[in-house]
Amino acid sequence: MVAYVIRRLFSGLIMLLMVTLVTFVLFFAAGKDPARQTCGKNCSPQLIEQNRKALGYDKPVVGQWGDFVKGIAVGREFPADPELKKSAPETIATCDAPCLGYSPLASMSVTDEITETFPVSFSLAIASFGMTLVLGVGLGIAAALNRGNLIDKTTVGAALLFYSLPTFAIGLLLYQFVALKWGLVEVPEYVTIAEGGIWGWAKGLFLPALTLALFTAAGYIRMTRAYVLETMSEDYLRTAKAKGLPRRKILWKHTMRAAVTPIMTMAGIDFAVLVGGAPITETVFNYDGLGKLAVNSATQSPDLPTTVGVVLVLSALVILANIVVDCLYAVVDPRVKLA
Amino acid sequence: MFDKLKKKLDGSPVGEKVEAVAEKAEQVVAAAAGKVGAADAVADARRDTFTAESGKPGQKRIDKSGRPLLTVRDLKVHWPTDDGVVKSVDGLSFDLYEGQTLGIVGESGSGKSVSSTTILGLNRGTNAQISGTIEFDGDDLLSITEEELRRLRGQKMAMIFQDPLSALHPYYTVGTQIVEAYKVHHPQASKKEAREHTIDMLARVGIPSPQKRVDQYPHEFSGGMRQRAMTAMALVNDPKLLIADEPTTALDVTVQAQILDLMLDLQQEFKSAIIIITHDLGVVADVADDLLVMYAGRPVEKGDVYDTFAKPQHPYTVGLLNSMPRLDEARREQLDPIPGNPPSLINLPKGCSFAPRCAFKHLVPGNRCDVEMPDLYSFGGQEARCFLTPEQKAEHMKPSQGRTTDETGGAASTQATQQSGPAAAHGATKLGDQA
Repeated sequence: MVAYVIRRLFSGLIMLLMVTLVTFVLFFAAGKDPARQTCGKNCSPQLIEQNRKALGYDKPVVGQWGDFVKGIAVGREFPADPELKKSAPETIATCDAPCLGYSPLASMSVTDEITETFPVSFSLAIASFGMTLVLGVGLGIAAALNRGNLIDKTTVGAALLFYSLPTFAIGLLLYQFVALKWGLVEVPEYVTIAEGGIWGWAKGLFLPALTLALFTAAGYIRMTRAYVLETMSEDYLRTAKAKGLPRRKILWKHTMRAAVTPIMTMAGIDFAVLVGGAPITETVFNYDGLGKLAVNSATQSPDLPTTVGVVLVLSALVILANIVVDCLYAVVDPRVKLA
Repeated sequence: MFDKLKKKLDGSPVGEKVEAVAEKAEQVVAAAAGKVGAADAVADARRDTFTAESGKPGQKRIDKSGRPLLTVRDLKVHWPTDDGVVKSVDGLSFDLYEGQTLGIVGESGSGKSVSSTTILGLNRGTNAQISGTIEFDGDDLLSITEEELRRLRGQKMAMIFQDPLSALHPYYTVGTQIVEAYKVHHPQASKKEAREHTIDMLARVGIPSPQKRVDQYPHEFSGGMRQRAMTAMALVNDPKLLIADEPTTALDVTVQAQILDLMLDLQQEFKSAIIIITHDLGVVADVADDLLVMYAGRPVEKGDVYDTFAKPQHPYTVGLLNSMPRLDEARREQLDPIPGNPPSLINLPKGCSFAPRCAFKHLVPGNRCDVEMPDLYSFGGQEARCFLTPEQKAEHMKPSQGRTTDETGGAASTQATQQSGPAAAHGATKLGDQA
């Protein structure tokens, strides 16, 4: 098991390296001069050249990629000029490891940008995912057990409705009515646990998390319903019934154990994707999260170092989630051997 | 496992033993002649064990004086579908006594499995329309509540399913599943007791090193071991009624014989009644006392297994026997399959459901078979759903009238068959000597 995890982490690292390479190539394929973006309207060719040199954009692509990867491992200095460091150390900006580059748009290091936005997105992902699992799996089981009757049809119908409604519509409706017009909950804003405690944190997250959960839970309802129904037709459930087990035990011990495994696999990866994949919700509720950062960096004024940094962090999350899910799978299903 | 049987063998009269030895020798010769041997130690041992007790070879004495353990009367299981009502079981009646083994045979879709799952109440909660009566040990199984039925399931009546790989839960160890089956009916038993009982049970069904095996998962067992584990699970509460639904279908012949052996052995120990559902007549010949042949959801022939094999009273039974390879006669170039296919259970033919495939219906005057459903008529100790008179049957319906390579040899062996009963009609093949 340990050897397997180490091996998977190692191959994950190699995969991440490939991701940096691909995003870096995209960086240049974008056709924008990164140095030109470093200065605003009052730009002079001299300033551009100076920045180009300071940020290392004068080097060939492979060299820049090397600098980038090295920066993640050991940190970087801008400009990377040993002589200048000796003569005028105050002109050098250091970027500690893991350094993901410098964002001229935000005038800060990409690492700092991400550390600021990550907790927001992560909190949102946790809250909405908790709701998704409770709503999705719970209602999915209810629908499966009531197959064909009104409960089943209502649940599946509602799931379809929420699945087809765009997130911004759900989000804006909830914001407008639940928070502003009816005042059922406070106007959502992100409060850290340090500031507002767990309760304050959760209260602030309620509406955006619900918005996301209504959409994702719809998929989980349908999936859980299908897996539970599939498991219920298995021979080993007939055996469980023939043994004289009570219904409750057949459902929770025999059916759910088998049905939950594929749901767990989906959930692990969905969670990782959700951390960076909620730009619309973050925008609607004005949360400064990773998703919004990524979209802004790519659209408003192209901020390539930020895009590359965010993509890298999110890829790492997905790879990590995959490893965790694979290991969990081996724990849940005795037939799976890690090799 | 075989010790007990051997002891019994030793106790039987000398003459029987000689006969057994002679028979075995014959089978060995047959096997040496390049055919797969039909030798079956289980059947032999049984025959040898019980011949002394009752008149016919292959028969053990069953006390039929008291109340039957299980009485099924006019059982009907109908499934409404969009295309019409599927009559899976349509008027099944039989009695089963303690210690008795009933073999139910028939083609796929003849209602064998549905009737057994209905007895266990596993079709409750589906859209099946069930009518008739099933009386088991004083309980009317069709009218008691689900909770009362649940308490009977697994405790007083248990089932061995075919294909134990899919019938055992893949995520739990074999031990966990058997312990669960025990604990649900023995809530006062401690975990340790249940586990010890489970290990004991695994040992009894012949699983080597049960201490270790108890903590393994079904996928770590071989096919035969899985079926043993399944059997152990069914027997863990000493059920009075054991229903085995094709318990040996997925197994190779040596393991098949071992499993059947085991069931009989345990039957003697617990005095259980067994219903064995199969489409393998060889298995029936091995273990059953009585035979019930089903066709299109209805019983078409009922009777003592020995008589039925020797003198089948229904053309379908004759067809089943003829479509089975035999070793006690000259080799046939072709088997005689029953022509045609079983009818749709939605649109059963008017009249006898077997009539469209029946080779003898022209003997019944006035197209009667095509318009009228025959009742179960009594022919000696047997019952058959057939209009043919006993004289017509004696004249036309001889088992194994197949094309033979050697006409005289074939004729001679046909006669021999009629005298030798289940042992000779035994089609299950088995490699090696198990006894």
